Amino acid sequence: MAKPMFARRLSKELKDLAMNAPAGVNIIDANDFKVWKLGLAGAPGTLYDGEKFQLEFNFGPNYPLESPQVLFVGDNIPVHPHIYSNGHICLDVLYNHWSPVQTVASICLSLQSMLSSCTSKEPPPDNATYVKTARANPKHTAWAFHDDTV
Amino acid sequence: MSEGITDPSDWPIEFKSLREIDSHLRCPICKELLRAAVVLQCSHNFCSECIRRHLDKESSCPACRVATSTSQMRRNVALDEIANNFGDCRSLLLNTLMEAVQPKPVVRPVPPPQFVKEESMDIDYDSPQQKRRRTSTRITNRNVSSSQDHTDIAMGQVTLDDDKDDDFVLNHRDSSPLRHKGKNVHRSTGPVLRSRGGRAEQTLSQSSQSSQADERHEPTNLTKQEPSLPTASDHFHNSAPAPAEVQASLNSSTNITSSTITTSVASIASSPVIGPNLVACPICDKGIPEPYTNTHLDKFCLAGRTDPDYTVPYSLISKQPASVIALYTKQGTSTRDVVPDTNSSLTKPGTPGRSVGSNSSTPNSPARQSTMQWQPQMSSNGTAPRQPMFTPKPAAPEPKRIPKLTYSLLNDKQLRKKLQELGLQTNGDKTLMAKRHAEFATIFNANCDSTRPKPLSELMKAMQVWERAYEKDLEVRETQRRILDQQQQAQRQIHAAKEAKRQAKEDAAAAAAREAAMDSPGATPPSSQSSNGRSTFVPNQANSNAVNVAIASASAFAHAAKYADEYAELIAEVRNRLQADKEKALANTTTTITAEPAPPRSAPSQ
Repeated sequence: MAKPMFARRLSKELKDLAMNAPAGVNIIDANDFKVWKLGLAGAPGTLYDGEKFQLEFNFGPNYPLESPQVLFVGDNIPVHPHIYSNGHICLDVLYNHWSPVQTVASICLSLQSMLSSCTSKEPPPDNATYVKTARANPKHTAWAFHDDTV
Repeated sequence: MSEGITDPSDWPIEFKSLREIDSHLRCPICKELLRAAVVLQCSHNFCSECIRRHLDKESSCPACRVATSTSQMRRNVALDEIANNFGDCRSLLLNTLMEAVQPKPVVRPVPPPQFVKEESMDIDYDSPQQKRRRTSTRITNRNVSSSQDHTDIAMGQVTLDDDKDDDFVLNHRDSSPLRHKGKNVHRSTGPVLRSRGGRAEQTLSQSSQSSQADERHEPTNLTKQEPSLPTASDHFHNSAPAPAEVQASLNSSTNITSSTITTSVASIASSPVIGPNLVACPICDKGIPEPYTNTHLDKFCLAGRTDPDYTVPYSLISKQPASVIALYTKQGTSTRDVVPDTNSSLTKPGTPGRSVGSNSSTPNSPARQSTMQWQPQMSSNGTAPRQPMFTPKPAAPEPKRIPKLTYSLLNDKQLRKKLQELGLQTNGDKTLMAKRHAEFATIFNANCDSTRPKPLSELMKAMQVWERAYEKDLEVRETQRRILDQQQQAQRQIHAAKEAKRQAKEDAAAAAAREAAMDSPGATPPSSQSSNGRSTFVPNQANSNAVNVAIASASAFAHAAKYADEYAELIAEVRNRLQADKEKALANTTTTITAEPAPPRSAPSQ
């Protein structure tokens, strides 16, 4: 076991992503096993058709057992009822419903389905206050997951 | 195996089901082939270690979120064995497959092993080496006194060392007759050997001689020192009417022409050649080089370990092209003592006859296969005295798991005692001790679930690694905290400085307003005055407002100064505009030259 578990697992995931990434997902920058930047394209036929977003994944040393930090970054952050304008994403599987069987690819798919099922492009109602008070790491936010439809 | 990063996608796309098999044999948490597979109530499988770590955090199945706990998980022995063996043969299988996919599919028609097995009832395919080994066994059995048992134990160690020390092996090669004596003494002493070798005797002594009688006869002619082959065959001729098969096999290997060439020779010749020198281990069914059989059995199978060099099941490897088999056969021989027992005791090592024999003889030994049922006895009998050397842990079938502790209910002393009982370090504070205990419990219990448990020493090594990683992690966290603290402090300073600037700006704005309120004739004087006042005024303000912070941080100071300049420019611009407006108003009223407003505008902008 030369490499720690998270590195071994991430190298497999990277290989998998490089070979057969889910539709609309591409690797922008993955030079180490700490931070990855992935491109996410809005699925055709949805409100985000044609838009391109950037996702940042931060992996900790306990990675598969603990969820990565996932945020939207860059200048185009999707306007969505569950995505704050600082890039924080209100999605249960990224926080307390994380499970180690999930992968980067599966997260991307979850996010894409979240975007795709959106019916109206509007920011979260508490966006202004949240963005002002939120910490940099979305995992430190106490999320309340209430909406099962998106 | 653990070094390479393996993935189901390694398999060629044509073999989709192999990909499937590969992915199903992987733990969904670590994505490695299952190690110590356990199954949960929801019938999801994981590595024992992975799921234990997960259940420490959350009591639900990672795959389906059904509530579960460590007490509800069960070992999945069959799956673990499958995963282990798949891992063993994976790289070879993959290589072979890739070769086959790319250039030319070379598939030699190979009879199933059963065929050989059946034949063995009538015809003994046994290779000469094995035949002779048996005789040598008996020789040694006879000639070696009971005091040989000591040597045996010592030799047991030698064979153990063979794994690692090549030179050592080479040195011992010459003394191998002695070693084989020692090694075989055990087997031959008990009733078991007779049943094992006795199977051979069944064919060997068709003249209704009991195997015991056989034993009595043979040693009389054979001496302890390396007997030459003719003696051996003479012996067969004289003492016991040797079966034709033996002679035939002897002949085929030694080129000694014998008067008795029987039908069995023909059958040997016509028998399908399965591979150069490869046989199936009767215990683990792995393909192993035929001369290496005894070493393999003694060192690995009977000792309950797995042979790292020969990991592919015979049925699999035997179907490969000859070149692959040859490669496979070679892999262990380069690093390990494979001197066949018989080779050294009956023929000179490296006799050309041997290589001929090994190529022409059918490797699979029916005798071995048919003795399968006796193996359990053999292992208990033959390796009993060596047992402790191979399995560091007590031979109890199910080692006791380490129970989980509620660390908050233990005080330091109790916890330290617990660690001491497990042979772990006891330094550090309670958090560290609790973490250490939890970590060890996890890897120890996971190891208990494995069908190939690691020795305790390896777990201890893993703990040392963990210990170092923990220290490093602590250091990293400490530095991170320090950096964060510094950043926060710097931010606070900058904030304070900004506050100071804001006030400076307000003051400046107030001053500007005052100036603006002043009358037009003082258009130029107020601007110069205010700029002068600002450049000296701002730092003073910062000093007075945030003396402690602003002084401490030069960067913040510079920042403040920069902001002051910006504000100064801003204010100057505002003032210019005001001035321009006034001048315009003046120009309107006086209606004089347009060049007049230019000088005052340039003055403040510098």
